[in-house]
Amino acid sequence: MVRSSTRISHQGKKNYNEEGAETADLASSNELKVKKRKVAHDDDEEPKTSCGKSKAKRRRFSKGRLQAFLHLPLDLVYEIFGYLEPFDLLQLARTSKQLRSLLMSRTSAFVWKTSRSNIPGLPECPDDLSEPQYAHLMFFTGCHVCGRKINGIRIIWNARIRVCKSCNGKIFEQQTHFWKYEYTSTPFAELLPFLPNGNAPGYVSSRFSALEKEWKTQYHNASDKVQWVRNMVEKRRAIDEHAKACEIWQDELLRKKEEKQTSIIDGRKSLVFEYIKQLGWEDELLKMSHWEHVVGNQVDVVRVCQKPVTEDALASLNGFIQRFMEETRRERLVRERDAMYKKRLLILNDIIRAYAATIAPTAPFPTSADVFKHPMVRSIIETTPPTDNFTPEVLQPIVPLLPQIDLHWQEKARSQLFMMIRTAAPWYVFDEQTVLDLATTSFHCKRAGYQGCSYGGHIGHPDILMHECARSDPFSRENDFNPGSAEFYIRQFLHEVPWNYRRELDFDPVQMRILTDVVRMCGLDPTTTTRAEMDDLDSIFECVQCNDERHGRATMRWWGVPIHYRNHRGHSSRGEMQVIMLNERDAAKARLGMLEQEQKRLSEYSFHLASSLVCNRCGAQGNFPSTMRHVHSAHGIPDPTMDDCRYSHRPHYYPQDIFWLWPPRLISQQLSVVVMPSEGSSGPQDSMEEDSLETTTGSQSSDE
Amino acid sequence: MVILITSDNVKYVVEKDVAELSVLVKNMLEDIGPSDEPIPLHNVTSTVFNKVLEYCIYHRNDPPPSDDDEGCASPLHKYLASHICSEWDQRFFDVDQALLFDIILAANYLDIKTLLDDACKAVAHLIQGKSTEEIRGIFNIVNDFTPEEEARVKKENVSS
Repeated sequence: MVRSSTRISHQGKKNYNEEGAETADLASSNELKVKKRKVAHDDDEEPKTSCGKSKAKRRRFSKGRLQAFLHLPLDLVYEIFGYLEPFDLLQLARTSKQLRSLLMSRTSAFVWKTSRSNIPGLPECPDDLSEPQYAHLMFFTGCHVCGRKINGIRIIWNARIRVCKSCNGKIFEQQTHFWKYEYTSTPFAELLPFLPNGNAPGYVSSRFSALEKEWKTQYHNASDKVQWVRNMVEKRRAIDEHAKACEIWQDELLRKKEEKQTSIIDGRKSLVFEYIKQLGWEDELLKMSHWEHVVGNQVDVVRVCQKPVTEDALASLNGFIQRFMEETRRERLVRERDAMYKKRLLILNDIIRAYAATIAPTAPFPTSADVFKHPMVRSIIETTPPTDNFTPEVLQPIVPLLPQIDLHWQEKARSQLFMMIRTAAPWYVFDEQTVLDLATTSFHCKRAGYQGCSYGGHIGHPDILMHECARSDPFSRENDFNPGSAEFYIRQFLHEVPWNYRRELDFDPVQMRILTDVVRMCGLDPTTTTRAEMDDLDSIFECVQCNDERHGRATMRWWGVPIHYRNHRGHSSRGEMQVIMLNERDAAKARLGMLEQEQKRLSEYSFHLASSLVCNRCGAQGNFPSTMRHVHSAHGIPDPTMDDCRYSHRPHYYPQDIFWLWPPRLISQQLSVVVMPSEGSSGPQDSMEEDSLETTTGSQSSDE
Repeated sequence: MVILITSDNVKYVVEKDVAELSVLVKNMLEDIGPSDEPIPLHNVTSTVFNKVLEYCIYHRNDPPPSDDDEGCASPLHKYLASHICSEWDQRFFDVDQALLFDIILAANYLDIKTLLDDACKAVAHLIQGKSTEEIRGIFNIVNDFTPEEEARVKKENVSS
């Protein structure tokens, strides 16, 4: 090999050898020369080393080619090396003694430096490592102990080592092992990088040994021990700082590698996307939101994109693409249908609410599910093409029909109520024209008390038509309507069901018997007395069994008796409900208390109470304070009361059934009570002669 | 036009701008002034010169290398330069190794910097990312380490 090229002699410009004359001399001595080697003519013959040991079998080589490489002028060889990365140089140096001799010489230091400069951001080679050691540390990704290239290699930068899990224990020693002995009270510990290692931090054994050697030989002989320690600590700090820089560089490298990989995979994904479009799914793809993200993250697509995408690889996706795109289309159609129904049903609901605002605040009106049953409504909502802009005007033709739909719905609901009565009390003969107004006709809700129904023990007509449990499902209930049907969507978006669809309402003959007793206690005829008449009479009753020394006497209005019966029955320790009718003095006291209790409750801040009362004059709705303010300001009533408003049918709110009248009744008091429901009573059609006897027995005369 | 004669006496008539990509030729033309005298290229055979000429013709309109390129002042620039090579160049250097090294020598002799750089990159590319065994295989380098020496060599750069 010639020392330098003719170009240099001609040019006299470029000198890669930056280390001066000394290096040039060293380079001369390290020129690569192709030694003549004995070429083995017989492959079976093992070449021998100078020491007589057998060598591994080697490849035959083409002398000409090898000469071509090694006979380049040294500056051209360095020029080539300058384009390599440090680990490539290390690999080259391991190929033969000649190359090793060249690359490990001081002459070649600049090659390593140049090579390092090819790696953007690579920290400088630290003082405690040679260039080859540094290259090995930075670029040999296997375990430095066992040499295996496996996952889970840990890089301990300040110990200058990469180590696998199984070798970690071999090189690592815990702090306590050393500290127990001679170094606990010396500055030695400050000199060695201390390494975290899970729950057992410590040192790399070889590092410890090397430093220990220095400590024993140099520290004890040092004239200025403090300075010696200071210098050593400085070295350690430099190592730590360099380690930190390496860590940052490595993180950045990994990040860039990941970005590059992501970019490559993204490029491959675009080929897959094109292929999907070629298969005729372009329109469907473009209808998807974030389709590139969605399709690109499918397991099958990601798997194919791990390697360069070939036609075979694309063809292997055919099955997946067919399934995925068909499913995507199906889901889109469902979504579009959902959106279509949602928009249309919300408009329908608005129209029904607008209609409700035009009728009396206490008047019942049908649910959207009931209105939807009308053929015209169903037809408009279901058959208007999705392409048309569905505005409220499209549903305007049904607005004039709503009163008729409402009446028809009420008729149908009444028929259901009659059927409930007949089914529950077959012996009871009633007049359909009047029975729903009778005080003894009481329905109840099966959800009362345990499924969120606030008041299900006694519901009369027409309140029963607006009872929330009959009109909507609880949120916890699964939507079991046929998916895709209009009923399904009404339930989905409006939470409404056709009236009493779940059969939650019932007619309870026991309640009828109780109310029969209550009416009789008032001296009235249960076969004809209406709820309005009972309201006007406003008698107050008391369950003497529920008298409580801490709360007082359990008093209630007439409609509260059947409600209390249900609650009372839940407390077996109280025995049978025993009711008396209060004398007028106590009744007046109870009424005042009830009024106050009711007003307080209606004044609470609650969503359900926001429209619980209706202004008698104009129908404005609100809770108690807002209604009172309204009556005062809008109608000029100076001191408005509950008489100026009434309960709305629409909220979930119902008045409280019990008022605890103070003081409690003495236990020793003897009373004439009515045990409810009275034995043998079957309802309002029992003989009135028996009724008067019971009513007398049930009065509070004995209480006085 | 410039007349060039290779070491095996093959005469080439080359356009001046192409010939002057070689600093050697350019300097000689400046030295001898306007003349029809052929310029001898003693160290280049016609086989190699054919390739050199092909390169020069393809790259005749390339901008001249800047000062930064000359000194390779920026490591990042050099890094990028070592990794960016056109498809044409890749095909051009996809030749027998002996010819590749001859191109290097010729580029060096003729002082065509871009060709020299690209050819060196092409050789470096053969080494990049290869294992020791692979490099031996590519360049037919004989492993003259004993197994013990080889094991020691592999271990000696472990710093801890």
